[in-house]
Amino acid sequence: MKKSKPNKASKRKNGADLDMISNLPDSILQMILSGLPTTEEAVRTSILSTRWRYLWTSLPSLDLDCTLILTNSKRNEFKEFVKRVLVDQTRDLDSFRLCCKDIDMSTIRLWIHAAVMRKVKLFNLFFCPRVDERKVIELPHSLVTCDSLEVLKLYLFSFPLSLPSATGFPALRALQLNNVQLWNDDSVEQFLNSCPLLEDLILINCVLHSLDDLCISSPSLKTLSIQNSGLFGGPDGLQICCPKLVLLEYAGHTASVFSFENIDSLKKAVFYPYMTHTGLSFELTFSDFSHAMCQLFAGVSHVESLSLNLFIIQVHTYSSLSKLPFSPLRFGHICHFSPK
Amino acid sequence: MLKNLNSKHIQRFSYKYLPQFPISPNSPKLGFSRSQIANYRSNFPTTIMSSSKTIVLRSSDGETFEVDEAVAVESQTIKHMIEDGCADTSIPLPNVTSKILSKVIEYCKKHVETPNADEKVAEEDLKSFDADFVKVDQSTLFDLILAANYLNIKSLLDLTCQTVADMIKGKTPEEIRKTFNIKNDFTPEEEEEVRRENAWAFE
Repeated sequence: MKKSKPNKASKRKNGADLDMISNLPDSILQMILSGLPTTEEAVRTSILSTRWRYLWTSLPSLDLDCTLILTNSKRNEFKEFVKRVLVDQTRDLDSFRLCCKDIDMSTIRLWIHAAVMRKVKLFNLFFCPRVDERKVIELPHSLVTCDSLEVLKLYLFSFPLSLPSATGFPALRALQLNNVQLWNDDSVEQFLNSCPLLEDLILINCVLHSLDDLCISSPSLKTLSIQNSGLFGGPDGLQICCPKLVLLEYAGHTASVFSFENIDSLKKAVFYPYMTHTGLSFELTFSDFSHAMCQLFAGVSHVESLSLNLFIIQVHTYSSLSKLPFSPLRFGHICHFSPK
Repeated sequence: MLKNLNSKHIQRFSYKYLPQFPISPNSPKLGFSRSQIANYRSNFPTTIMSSSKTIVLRSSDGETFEVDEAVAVESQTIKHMIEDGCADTSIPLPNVTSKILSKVIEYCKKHVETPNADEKVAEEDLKSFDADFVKVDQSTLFDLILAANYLNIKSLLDLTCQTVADMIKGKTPEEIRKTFNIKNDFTPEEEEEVRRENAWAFE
């Protein structure tokens, strides 16, 4: 430890260096604790001294992960911990990330309810239902009507999710569904229409329960991103009707029918499609694929920026021009073209 | 051509037309922000004839520092004092010593001078400046935190708090106590109670 200069001798006690950090005000110590990577680490500071014992209780964001625990006793410890950290505190929550497996649905609902009571703004749920509870998941009513929730991210291990159709999230700005099976496909359109402030929608590896068309129609949506990596792809047909859409991203296994209605505000389109060459998708022959691509390009011909992957260009060169309706398309306003 | 420009055009193209208009930083019609002015100044130092206003800051030990207004208003506290008209002669900062104040000014200057364009080079340069800036002893670091808090400079406060968080990250409680000289004032029973209450965190 460094010896300080003689003129600072008055600040020192009996030659021992001062504990300067504990003299900082509470609000600053809480800012420092917020910079720690996990909630567990922040809670561990409670053991440092009596000053630090309850500082962590006012943390604005929680990150709880129990995917690695295997025994029942540890699981109970985790539940106790979540109760202390989430349910027993009252401070407003900025963000809440919960990763869990094999916890019963009623406990999860309790926790979601507690987060809603604490006016959570960002909720990220990574959840695999218990073996005996694997039916269609429904979001708790309190979450759907939560008026503070702005960002919702769900990763459900391809388990089915039933979206509420009567009401939508009143304040939701961004929604990300990852590995979710959309149970009632026709309610997707209704659901999106009833989220008045929704601006960003990201669908990663989402499948439809019945392989029908997916219809994305929303008056406020600005960014739409659909990514399907993997063999089983997304919907057969994609229909988009979003007047305020500015960015459209589509990557992965491609649909066979594209239909665009009213996407006049679209400025940037990113397409990285591919076809898998397994038995499943042989019905999607090259000409079908190129037909779909033509529809796609026709729909977005007014964009300013277009990004493509080389797969499209390869398909073009391999098929004879007489078969392909891949005729010169007019992209009037493109300023930025980047093939990947 | 000039008569068809409205104020929106003036804001966008004025770096070309600037010499022809009398510029006053406080003119509400043109609506330049202070950082825009600082930017223009660095590009056209001889063209702008108006007063590049400087502010005098007085530290707790009586030393004075003269800084550009654009640099001084990185601090929301100083900005409000200027707007409220308390900055005629000098602004006294009784909670900040000259040593810390000079460091804070150095930080604000660097952040005002770096253009806000998303250029990789400028961003990297600023990041390495920040990294070097916080390589100080603990006492200076905590004084910087308190100064950033008092002067309400969000980016400096975030930077310094994150630096301390990084010093805590990954350490056992005993190691943290050693780093910061924190005295463990729990009784053994209390300590046991805390460990039990938060059992999950102490795996």
